[in-house]
Amino acid sequence: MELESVGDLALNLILTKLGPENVGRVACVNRKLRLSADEEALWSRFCSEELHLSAPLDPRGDPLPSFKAAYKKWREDFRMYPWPLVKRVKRCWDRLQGWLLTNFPDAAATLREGASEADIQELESVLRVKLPLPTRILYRFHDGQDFDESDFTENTPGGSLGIIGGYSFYGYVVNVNLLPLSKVIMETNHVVQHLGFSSRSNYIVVAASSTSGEKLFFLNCRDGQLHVGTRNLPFDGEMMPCVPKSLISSVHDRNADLQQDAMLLWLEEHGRRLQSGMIKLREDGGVRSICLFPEEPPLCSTAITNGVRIRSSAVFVPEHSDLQNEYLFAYSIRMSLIPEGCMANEMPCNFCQLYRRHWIIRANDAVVAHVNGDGAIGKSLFMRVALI
Amino acid sequence: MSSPPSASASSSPPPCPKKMITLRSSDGATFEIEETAALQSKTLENMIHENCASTLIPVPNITGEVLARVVEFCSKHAEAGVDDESLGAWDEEFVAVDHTTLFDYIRAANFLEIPTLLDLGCQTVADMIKGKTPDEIKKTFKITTACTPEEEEEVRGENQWAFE
Repeated sequence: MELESVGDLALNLILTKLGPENVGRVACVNRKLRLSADEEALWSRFCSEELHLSAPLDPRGDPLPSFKAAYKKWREDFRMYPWPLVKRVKRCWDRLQGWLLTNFPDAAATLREGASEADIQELESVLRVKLPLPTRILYRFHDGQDFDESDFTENTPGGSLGIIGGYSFYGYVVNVNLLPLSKVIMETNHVVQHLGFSSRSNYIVVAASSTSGEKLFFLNCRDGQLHVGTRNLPFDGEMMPCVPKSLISSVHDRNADLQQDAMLLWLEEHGRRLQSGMIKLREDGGVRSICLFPEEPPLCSTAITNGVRIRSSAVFVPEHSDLQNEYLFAYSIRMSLIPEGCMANEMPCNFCQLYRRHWIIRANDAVVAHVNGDGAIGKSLFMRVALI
Repeated sequence: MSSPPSASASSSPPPCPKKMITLRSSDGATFEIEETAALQSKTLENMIHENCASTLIPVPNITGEVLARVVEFCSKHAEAGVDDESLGAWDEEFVAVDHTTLFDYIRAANFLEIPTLLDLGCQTVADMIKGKTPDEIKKTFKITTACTPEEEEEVRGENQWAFE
């Protein structure tokens, strides 16, 4: 009795359990099995499960006539990489891009199309490096960010659409974006020249804050670690690692079970923080940007006293720190009046004004500073209960 | 792999005798099965509710040999107090048969609409196919109806990615 004799329903169930690669092989056995293996319902399911596609689209987002054709195109376009890694990178980008499309479409619009294998090979040959596997695939999906003239305004001289985001304090503004391969080449050459990096030819610049140009992220192509330049970068090339070393593995080994480099881990974590609301979009002077001051516990503390809610969080500023002497942190304190208002002289009141503040700043339970005085940064905040 | 015994509408209180159903195979053999076990099959469930008076149900598509085993499967899966691990081991032994018999089980499960048996049978066949080349698959299932060389080349080209 032939395999086909089990009936179409059972055959479809068997093929579903087999998964795409095995179904592709079953198709080559005989005509009847080829028919069953070619069923659109099957490939629609595989496309949905593996690539989260609800329509038959190719990697560029262009439509194809069938789900089977779409799945085939994806596998062929990425045949040079371990498929599980490709799926993982897609999930990472889907999450980031999904968040951006919903919350920050202006930034989503700056994401470029994927680079080609030829583009990547060109960079590797010009810079004489070999990109780690996960990073290559990341660039195959999106080749960094593109900005046009209108993104740089008086208010945002360095742009505000970096998808990594940043922070600002006392007029110092940071907004980090992902560089396309063409800029990676330019910046890396520039840095190598100016900072005398010849002994470190494994480093390439992958992300930077276009405002001050002071914050630069370097990928070490040999071991897959990501570093950020400290304030000593211009003098002795000092930088700090961004990702725990123990997480990085098998960045050049196609046959390993698990390949992850710092770039992938960093972007995955960033996507998680955006999605969970740990970091959010903030508006400052009419300009929106991704702000790295945490907004959720445990990295953000909240206390409400007599109707006044205070939220505080801190962010590490590596580009103004140095590894020998001091680490610099910036803090953000936000004050508002809760809807119920506050009590003043035993009377409910729906407005209040900040007169004085006293911050006690601790590091590891030891007090490191007091900030004491009128108003805050010279201003007296006036808070009113928001009228809905 | 295991499924909890399907709760029959009556939730038979212990003292009542268990209602037995008799099934008659295509070759005239009869088999007794408890009603609770029979309810594993949606087809039997419908027939039971239709022929409330008679307890003899003809099953024309299935031979006695296969029906006996199907009855065994349903009875085992309707048993109370069997833990997942031992049920899994029992299932594994149940499907340790030649592929012709396996296909018989699948066809029976399909006709009688027994989801647990269908799933078990199909998973077993899938496991037999996994990782094999088309030639190996042909050999395993003694499949003789093949394609012309042109067809083979065409379909191979379409699915080349599955071999890399």
